[in-house]
Amino acid sequence: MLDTLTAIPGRLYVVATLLPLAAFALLLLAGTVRALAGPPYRRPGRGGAYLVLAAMAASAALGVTGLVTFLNDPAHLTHEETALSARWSERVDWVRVGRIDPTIPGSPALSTPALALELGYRIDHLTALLFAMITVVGTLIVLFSLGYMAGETEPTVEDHEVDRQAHARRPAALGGGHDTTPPLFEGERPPPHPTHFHRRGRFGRFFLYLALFAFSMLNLVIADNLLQIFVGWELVGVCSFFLIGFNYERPSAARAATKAFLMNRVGDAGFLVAILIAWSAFGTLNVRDIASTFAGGPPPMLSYPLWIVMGVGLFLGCVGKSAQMPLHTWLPDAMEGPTPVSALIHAATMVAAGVYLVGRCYALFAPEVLLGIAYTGAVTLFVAATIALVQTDIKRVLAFSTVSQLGYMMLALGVGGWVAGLLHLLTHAFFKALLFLGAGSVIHGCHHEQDLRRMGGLAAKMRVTAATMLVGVLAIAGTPLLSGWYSKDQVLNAALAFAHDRPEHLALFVLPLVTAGLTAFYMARLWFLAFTGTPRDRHVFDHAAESPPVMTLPLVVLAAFSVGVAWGWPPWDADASYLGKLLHESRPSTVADAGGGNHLLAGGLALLAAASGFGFAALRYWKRETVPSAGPPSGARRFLLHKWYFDELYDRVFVRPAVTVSRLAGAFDKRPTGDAEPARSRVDGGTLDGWLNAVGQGAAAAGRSLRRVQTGRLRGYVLVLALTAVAMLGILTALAG
Amino acid sequence: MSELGPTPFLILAAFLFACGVVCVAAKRNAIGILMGVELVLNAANLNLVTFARFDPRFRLEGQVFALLVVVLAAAEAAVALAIVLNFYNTHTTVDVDDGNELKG
Amino acid sequence: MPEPDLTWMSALVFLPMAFAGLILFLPSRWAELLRWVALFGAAGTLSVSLCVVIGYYNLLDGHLDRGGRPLQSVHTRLDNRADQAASDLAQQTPRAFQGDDWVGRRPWIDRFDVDYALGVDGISLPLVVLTALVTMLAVVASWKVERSLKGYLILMLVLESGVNGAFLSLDIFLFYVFYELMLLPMYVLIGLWGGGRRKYAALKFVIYTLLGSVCLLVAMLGLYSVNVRDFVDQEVVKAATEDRGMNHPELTREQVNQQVEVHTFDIVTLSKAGRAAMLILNDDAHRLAVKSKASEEPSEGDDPTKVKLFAPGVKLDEAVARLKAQPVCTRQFQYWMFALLFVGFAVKVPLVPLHAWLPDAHVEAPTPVSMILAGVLLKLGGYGLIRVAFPCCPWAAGELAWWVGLLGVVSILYGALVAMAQTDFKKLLAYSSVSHMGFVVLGLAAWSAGSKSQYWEWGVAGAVFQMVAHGITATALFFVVGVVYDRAHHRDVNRFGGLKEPMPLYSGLSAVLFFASMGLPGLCGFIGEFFVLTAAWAFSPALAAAAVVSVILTAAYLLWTWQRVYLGTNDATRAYPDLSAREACVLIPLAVLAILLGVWPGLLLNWVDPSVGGWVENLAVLKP
Repeated sequence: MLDTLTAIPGRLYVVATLLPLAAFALLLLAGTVRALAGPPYRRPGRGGAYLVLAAMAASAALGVTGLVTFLNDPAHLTHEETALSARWSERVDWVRVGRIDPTIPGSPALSTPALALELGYRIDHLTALLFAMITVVGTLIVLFSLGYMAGETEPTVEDHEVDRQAHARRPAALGGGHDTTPPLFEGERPPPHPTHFHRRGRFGRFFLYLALFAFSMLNLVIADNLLQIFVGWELVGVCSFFLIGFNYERPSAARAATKAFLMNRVGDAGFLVAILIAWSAFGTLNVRDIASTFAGGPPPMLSYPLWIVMGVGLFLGCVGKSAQMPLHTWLPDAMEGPTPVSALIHAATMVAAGVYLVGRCYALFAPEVLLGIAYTGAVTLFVAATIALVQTDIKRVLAFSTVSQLGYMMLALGVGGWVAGLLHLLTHAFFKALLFLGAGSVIHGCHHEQDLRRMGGLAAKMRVTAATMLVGVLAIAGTPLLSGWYSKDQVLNAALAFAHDRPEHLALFVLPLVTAGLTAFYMARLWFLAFTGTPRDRHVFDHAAESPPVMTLPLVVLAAFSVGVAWGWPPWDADASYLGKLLHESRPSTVADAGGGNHLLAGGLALLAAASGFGFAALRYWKRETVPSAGPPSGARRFLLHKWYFDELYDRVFVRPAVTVSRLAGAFDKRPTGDAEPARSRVDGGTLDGWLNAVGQGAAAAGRSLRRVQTGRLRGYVLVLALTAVAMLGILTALAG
Repeated sequence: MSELGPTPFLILAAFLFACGVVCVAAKRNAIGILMGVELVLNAANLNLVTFARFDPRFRLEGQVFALLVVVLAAAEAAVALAIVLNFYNTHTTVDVDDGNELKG
Repeated sequence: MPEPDLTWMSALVFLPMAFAGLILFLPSRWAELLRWVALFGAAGTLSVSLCVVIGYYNLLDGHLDRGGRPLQSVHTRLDNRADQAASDLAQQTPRAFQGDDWVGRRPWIDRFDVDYALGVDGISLPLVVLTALVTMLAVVASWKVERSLKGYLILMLVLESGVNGAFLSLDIFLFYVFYELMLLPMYVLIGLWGGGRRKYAALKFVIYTLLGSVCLLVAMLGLYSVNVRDFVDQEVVKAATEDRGMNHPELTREQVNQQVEVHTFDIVTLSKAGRAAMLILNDDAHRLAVKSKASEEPSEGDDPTKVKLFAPGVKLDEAVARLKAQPVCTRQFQYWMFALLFVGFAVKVPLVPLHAWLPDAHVEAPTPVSMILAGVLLKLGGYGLIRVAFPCCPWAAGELAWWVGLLGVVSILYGALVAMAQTDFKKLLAYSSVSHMGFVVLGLAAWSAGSKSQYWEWGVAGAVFQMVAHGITATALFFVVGVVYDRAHHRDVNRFGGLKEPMPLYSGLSAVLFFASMGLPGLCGFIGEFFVLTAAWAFSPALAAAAVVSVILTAAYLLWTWQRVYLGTNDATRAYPDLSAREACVLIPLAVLAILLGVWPGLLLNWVDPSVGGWVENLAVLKP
């Protein structure tokens, strides 16, 4: 048993992936048994949470061990690809369909095999690094959740938000609440009259979902074929769905969950199309096998238009998952989920999966598609940053910041900065997880107050949180020597290099540069509003308290990572980042070596932008008591508060028409309703059912009209009989004659 | 005396048949209709006998069938009279126009 | 002569009926006993079906090819096994029947060449097991039925007999008999135990199904008119020659032989005639060849372009000439036969626009009947297409494949769209059935030929898998509705809400089934849909792209329903009790199966695939 596991070092990763799944299965089983046992429901146990924590910690240990082992694998030195593959990748048939077996002589030759769907894993630098990042961050976040979700261990939990939303039937004030999105569908029932809503604690369920998520995410990362990635892709989507809807009694949470899943499905449909194209063109879904056919242009079995379509489809999947324009609107709403979820799923890991997939399948994208990716990223990062400028919900600021940073990654990949984009993915995961957990700590300390306008001066009460969050803010703003600086510098450098080569695409450099300033501004604004100045809400301030160590410890660890994860020697050289060098090892062959030419220019400009943004925020918010965005919003401000009116636009352009079309289809297919037998002779004109019934009713009507012939008069029958006989006789004689 | 041939007999049979049909069609009295039916049957009988006489191929069959029809007519009359009787019991008339229960 | 496999298969068909007979003689006041007897009968049938699975697995295992897989071995192919059995039966000195080939044949109505022929292969067997399972669960779900319980249980078991018989028949006539046999119990079950509009719904169900049946009947007679003397064992022709020779002493033996016609209802023989007709219609008559024995192994020296269809001992030239002279080799005949068969089965699938009976029947039927209707009866349509329509009229099927696929896609999209507009939970699921069953048709229609024929195999395997998967999810979801209907006494999704908090177990299981129905990877719904889509893309990207849209639509209507029924708060639902043990007994096996088949599709595909492979190979070689 142990031998089979240790025979190939890569199996380490399989075990590490399956551990959370085992925890999930155990918890699911326990939960089912407990539910079968039925009421009375006891106090939610903590055992499940510890089990998941243990599984995650073990995964993290294995992930780090695997990373070290992989980096020290002697095959790297000799560049023996096959030896490396044999030790760090495996594939087995999952489903094999078909009578054709190439191992049998005389089998027909196939241009595209398409015989088996495989399961497999393949470890390279990117995978190993991501795996370690996910497990480590995941473990820290599970640890944090033990404290953050402690309230759920109570037998009954009171959810004020349910009552609040029940009160506020009309949408809450702009920017202040969760209810600014229009209802996803019409016909939602008004919530019942406000009461003090109580429900059972859901401590175990939270960790159940987290365990499933961890498995799905790890599976996605180690997968070596598109189908397995797709499987993980959908599973993380489902976990996200359940976790966003964790407080499913809140209408806003239920809506946000549905919205997130549906928008992801739009992207997934594109992904699916890409998979179908690949499968019918290559007969395999193995990413490496497919990529190897792309040595210089599209392979003969794939026409150029199909290549484009495949790339667009693949990217559409990434757009959905990574919340890029135009499918970005679900991510801010996803903040309905508990804050650790936002940190893990909607900041560090799942949303980065899109970026990961673009990086993994880099060779599959046509140049046109890559340009599209770059522009998508550039527009997204700018738009999201502008929206973040005016948000007053602490989590929403971070959500838009996440969208914006994901835009940076996409931009980098699009302009050829493969290493830069993925490096930013890694560094961003740490500092954004830190920021979210810090926000979670603030929210927890302020008893679930998320509105920045009611905070202020919290630094005095929450020293660790304030300090670690400041590290996060500085990192994301691109302060030199912090991790964010290295990656952002590389991204901008790549963009500048691209714009230098192709001046018509100058916007690809200008937008991120401007946004670097915006980023520094809104992040600093967040920090100043929350932690400095005088308290704007006495009640909140008086009850605020620092979080317990189980929550601050992950903050400190993540802060350490945020500072130093990208360091190299010398630390002041952004190109010397050790992490970047590792990533460079696994870059696809089509990526040119990153040129370091314009570093000083790009870095200098970025630093200038960030510094001015930071300074402007300090001027405006530091030690000021002004409540931001008091008074009616002005034009531009209103535009930003409405998030460029994307939700409204989609509601009008997609949701409502879709519902209308389905209503029309339903009306077209209409059938009798109610509990009474429908009148037999009624014809529903204009409906399919009516037409089909009309056929039957026509037959019945024909019968009714023929009924008249049966008069019941004997003499009439005889007359008809005789006349018929004569007539037939006449016909017969005529025919015979 | 010369052989008459089948034609006059067939004409007579046809005449009888026509009378019978008209009787069935025109009479409202059930007994009258029965009489018409008897006429029709006997017209057929006449045909059968005629062919038995004039066509050597049907010598035997014609007579057998004629006898069969006679028996059939007797049975029919018995059943039909029973029906008429019942009809009279329920409708207190033998006017067939009053019997419209089979109207569709 | 004892033939164990025939005994097993007959038991599968008649065991439920026997239990129905037993119930008939029990006094109806012993309600609890009646239920247990019915449950015992259904469980017994399930056990028998599992025994048959084991037997069939042994058959596959005993005939592995050089690759160690059962795929290339002709001994596992249904058509070869059926040929062998027919040949054994035809010998003048009867040969011993094979007791382990899972094909059994006995003469039934000699005058019309009708045989009592049953057979098992990987396409019918999963559906039989599904039938047995669903019926058993439906009996459990019927525990609360009080009204005329005895009749109800009898009808349910008779229904199972009919369905099993239809799945196992190898003779169209027998198939038709069973097909009609199951119509009557269903009519009565809806018409007596249904909701407010039960009469309307039951009548509509019967009229639609009878419309399909009439088409089948006509097609059946049309196929019977084909002279198949060159496709059956020549002993049959010899016997017929002698028989005729005695009646016509004035003719020479040769003349008599020329006049002999053989007709049959045997599906396997008819499909060979259909395939030969396809080759002739495609001007490929030179590819026709004669088999050397009834069940022939392919060997190294075979010409791969030759298609061996004629029975051993037939003179090729004469046979081809005879076939060409027949109406079966005309386009009109093929088109008509296929159209009739297709319409006949499309009603049952059901395909838009012939689906109109389904929502009414589902809405009015009691929960257990809905489970059987969705879980099993719809599969008969798909099964009929696989077993009868495509093999017997391959030429027309190939010509019309795109249009058939289009109908499938229309069903998929239309069903999903209309489902989105429904507020009645059951009606919504009924339309989602229309949508999901569209995938079955699309998978069958995705006839990629030539070097891409393996894609069609994915499609057909996916269609079979989708039938099973839909059988599981639809059965379970209708029961899910039944559970909540028992508590709320209405089915309006807008009036539910907040079920997740009072009923955690119910909601958890429902979630598994909702997502399985949505086609989430890792659950059973995904496999079938994905396979079908892969095949469809290779066949026609336009059709596949349209079908992919349903991924979004399906998620939309199911999630919207999920949101309205389970999420939020609702004072009316707060006090609902969670699943009872009995209800959990129905849902848990289905949920477990949904997960199991999703994670490990090989569980099903390992023994479905050899049959699908043979099926596809038979047809794919016909199209260059």
